Amino acid sequence: MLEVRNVNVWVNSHHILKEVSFNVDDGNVVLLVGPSGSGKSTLLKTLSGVIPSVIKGVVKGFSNPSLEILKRKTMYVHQEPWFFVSTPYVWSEVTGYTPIMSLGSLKEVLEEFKLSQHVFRTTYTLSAGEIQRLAFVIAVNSGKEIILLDEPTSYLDRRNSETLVRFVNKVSKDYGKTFIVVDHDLTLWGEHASKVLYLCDGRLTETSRNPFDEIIDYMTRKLSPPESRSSECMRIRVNSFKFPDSKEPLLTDVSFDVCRGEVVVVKGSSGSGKTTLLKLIASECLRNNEKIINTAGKKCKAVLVPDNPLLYLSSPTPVDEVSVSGLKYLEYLGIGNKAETPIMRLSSGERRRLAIASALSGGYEYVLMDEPTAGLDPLNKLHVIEAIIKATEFGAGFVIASHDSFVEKIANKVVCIERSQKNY
Amino acid sequence: MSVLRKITEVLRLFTLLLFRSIFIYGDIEGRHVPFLINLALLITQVLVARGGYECLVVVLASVLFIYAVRGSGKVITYSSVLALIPSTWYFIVSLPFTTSLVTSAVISLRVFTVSLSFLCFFYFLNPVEISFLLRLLHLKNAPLYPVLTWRVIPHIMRDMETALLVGEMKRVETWKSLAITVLTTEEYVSLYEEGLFSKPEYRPSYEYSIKHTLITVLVLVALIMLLALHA
Repeated sequence: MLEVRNVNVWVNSHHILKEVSFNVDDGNVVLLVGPSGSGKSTLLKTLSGVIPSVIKGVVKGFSNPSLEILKRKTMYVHQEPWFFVSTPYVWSEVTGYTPIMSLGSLKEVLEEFKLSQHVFRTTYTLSAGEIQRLAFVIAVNSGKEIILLDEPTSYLDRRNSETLVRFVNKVSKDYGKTFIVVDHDLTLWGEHASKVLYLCDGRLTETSRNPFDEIIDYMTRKLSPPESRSSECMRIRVNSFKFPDSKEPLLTDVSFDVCRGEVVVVKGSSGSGKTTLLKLIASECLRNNEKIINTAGKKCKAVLVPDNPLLYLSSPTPVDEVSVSGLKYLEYLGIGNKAETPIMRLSSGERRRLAIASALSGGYEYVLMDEPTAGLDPLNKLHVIEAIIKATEFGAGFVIASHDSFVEKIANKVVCIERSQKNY
Repeated sequence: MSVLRKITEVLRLFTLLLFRSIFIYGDIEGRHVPFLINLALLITQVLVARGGYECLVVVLASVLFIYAVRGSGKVITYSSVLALIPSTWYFIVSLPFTTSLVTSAVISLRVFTVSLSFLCFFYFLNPVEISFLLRLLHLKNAPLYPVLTWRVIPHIMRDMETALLVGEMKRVETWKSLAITVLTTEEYVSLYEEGLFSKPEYRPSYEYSIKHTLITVLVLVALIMLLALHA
């Protein structure tokens, strides 16, 4: 059993975790929920020893086993799965960190997560969802007793998320591994979680109901597509697109129009080419290519907000990043109080909201967004979705690649792209 | 289009080219030739390329043959475009001194051939093998660094390409996009450290390809014989 009593954590002199106490029985799955910035990741990093070994901080309190022993027993999978993978090929990552050695066993393990066709592929060409599944495969096969997963489904589609949850349940029951999972989606984990812990402002309480129930209910009932569609549209026609390292095209016959004032959501399983499609549209918009035609016959003024929001930002602070009209978006997205904070000191959720605020206030005709709500709690997700709706009223058209069902609720049009089987 | 946007676009295309000529392709059997044989081949190619025009042609043919026969013919285009950059430069700067188009063209071809040999060497360099060899030498923690380097460099390059694309769309100065990449890189160091912290020790395993090793050895022997003939 893992027992944690009165743990307090300070990072950069900020008191982040306050008197945190909880127990977890062996082989149980515990779900940790709470608003963004409440200290969920800090708790996982403390249990795994990342704090204070990698991130300098002060940890006080009692745990059984001790934090020193816990460090050796735990496997922490980062919120951004890219940083968990450290080798260039899928096979070298799995065989280097797990006891799996033969190609047959390797393919068998990867097949469960639809990764077996990627054994020899480079890890940096995997999509976010694929890399998230790979990180999970390594974590559960690493031999560690306690697995700490930080938002393990944020880049996964519903089907893959459900597979992961089932697998967590199976591994915890069959092999007695303990899981502590940070996730915002309580309905996904349902009865599989033996306990739900709610963390708010660094304090922990046990809860039987989803603290975000009302917001989720509101989003379920109230969200609907905007009605500001204009006649000026961007026509997107991609007959075929293939990466140089693949034998089969990634995208074939993708064709749709996006009009100003409307939202088009691009759906597809992870690795189906959603991000590639957005980048392709972005590149072609810059070149005024005939594949991307504005019905008004002029060049499209568009911008891309990538899934790593830091790559969007180009100014040292939020107030420098957004235009004057963007300040209201900062307020609306809940980062008004961080206007002067250096962007490097913002959390990943805050950076995402800042990038969105900057894009929405930039006066672009079309905004291309890659997973704009990934890793956001339901309240912040609602703010982002409402901000998008607001921007459509000012004439912006959106192409959004997302797995999020709430984002889909505001779609005027849903474009499904599915990947054909490929060999790498 | 402004000069700044042109610079951004050129930088982005260069990043893509480098990415494609070295990193993008997955692991293939042709990448399972011992490091020392690859290194010996590179050194021999450079030494032979110091000879006359005919030696240059033989070396160039050997590089193209290695690319093609070891299953990476499609990389030749990207590597050639990349190798053309220094060779064109040498052609231009040598012309006022040689005052002969032919002499400058031979210099340019030599630079092209040597550049292509280096790109070929780096392309077929398998970081997992280096890690595997370091592990055999019982060097603590060292096996992780070659694979991590091969993972991080393209990760940063891909981000740089995205940051430049977004910067171009936002019409911000190139240096701002590059500054973001530098900041990102700095942050990546600690994020990778966090990600790796609880992972067990990296234990690489590796298998060599007899077929591709034999082919490479044959090319190496042929070049050594040519070198001996010209000595």
